[in-house]
Amino acid sequence: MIRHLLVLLVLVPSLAYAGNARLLTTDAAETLERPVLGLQRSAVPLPLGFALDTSLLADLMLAANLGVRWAAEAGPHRFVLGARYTQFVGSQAFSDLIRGQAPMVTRFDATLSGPSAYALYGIAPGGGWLFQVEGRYWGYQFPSAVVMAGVNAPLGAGLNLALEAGMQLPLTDAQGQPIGRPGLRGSAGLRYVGDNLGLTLGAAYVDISEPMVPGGALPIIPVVDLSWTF
Amino acid sequence: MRALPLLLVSSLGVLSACSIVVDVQTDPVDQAIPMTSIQTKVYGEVAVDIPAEARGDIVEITRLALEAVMVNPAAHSDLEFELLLSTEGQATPDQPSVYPGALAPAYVKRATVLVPVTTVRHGESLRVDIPNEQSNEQLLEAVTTAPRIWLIAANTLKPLSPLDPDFGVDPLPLELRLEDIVVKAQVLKSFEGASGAQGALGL
Repeated sequence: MIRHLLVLLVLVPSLAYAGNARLLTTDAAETLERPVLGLQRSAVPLPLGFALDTSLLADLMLAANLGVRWAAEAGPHRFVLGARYTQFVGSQAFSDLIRGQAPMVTRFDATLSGPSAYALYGIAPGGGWLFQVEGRYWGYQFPSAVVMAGVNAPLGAGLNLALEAGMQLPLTDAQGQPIGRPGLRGSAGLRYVGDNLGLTLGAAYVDISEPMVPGGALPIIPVVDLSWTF
Repeated sequence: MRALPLLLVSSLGVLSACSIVVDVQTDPVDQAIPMTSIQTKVYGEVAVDIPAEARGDIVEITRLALEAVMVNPAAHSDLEFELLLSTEGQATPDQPSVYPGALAPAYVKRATVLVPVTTVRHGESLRVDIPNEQSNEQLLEAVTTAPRIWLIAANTLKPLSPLDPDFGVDPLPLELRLEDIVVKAQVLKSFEGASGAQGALGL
């Protein structure tokens, strides 16, 4: 029995996906079996469906983070569970940058630390199609949570159309006051998944209003991912 | 294009997940208010630009203070002084505006009273200090949402009575001064709602 299981573990890599198991702004309901170096996720697979991962993009922006992910397949069904801890280490750097540019700012202290967790269920009927739903919770200085449905539609030659639609959930703080800007969220983009190279380009609706940005608001941001699967 | 906006836009993904404490202090502004007659109300309007870092998705205003000094250099007249806050105005930071009461624009009537009518004695100055505990709702709202606020000083020179030992006639025009106008604010900013931006970062 154990020998059969061990043989399965050896066989599985030949069915493994390339890519870093990211859709656009959500995870992709895929197993992660090959080491991958990527912007949105760089990961090292561990036995039994686990993987250790980090967001290189966030690390580069000085939000150090480390996560654990577990994924499994059963026929067309996909299950993913993950958690991450993030700690922002760029407070001094951003403070110096902002204060150098805007002398009227005498203090700019950005903090971010806390866990986040996500769970996905997906169906991969074959041919590269993927239908999934993700729930994600961030427990930083202020909590936030989203539920997002996603679709990956293969267009041929490794190219895929990816779409996400969902909601940021209304949350309240300890006093019962509403937190954040709940509402509809969505993204669209193109993913190229080759044997090794992965590239994603898309746009996400985020509804940010921020006077520091020219124009005062940023409703849509670009989504970029680049990965190399070994 | 300035480097900062580009950098900010690209780092907004991570900043949007952060909780940010920002302290701003506007550069001190002085304004002269020439008075050409006594017993007539004259308005002096000063524009104060509020830095973008103190505005936006503000969660909490921890501290808000407005400071200024009203100087009455007259030797023989007391000054009746009132300070108003307006979210509309015609002054610019480079170009303050002075007009007599009779020609005051309509928004002056809608302005909020920050300092009610106070007497500034001849030769003295009055320190205006509106600390957090007394800040009214309109000031809090204006500073965190509007890029520019207008402070309107309403001044009337009142000559001293003949029984006063300092009685006399001030030569006109007489220049009053509203000095060291500073807005200090500490706010807690959070983008609370930008989950898409965190997602795009892979967090």
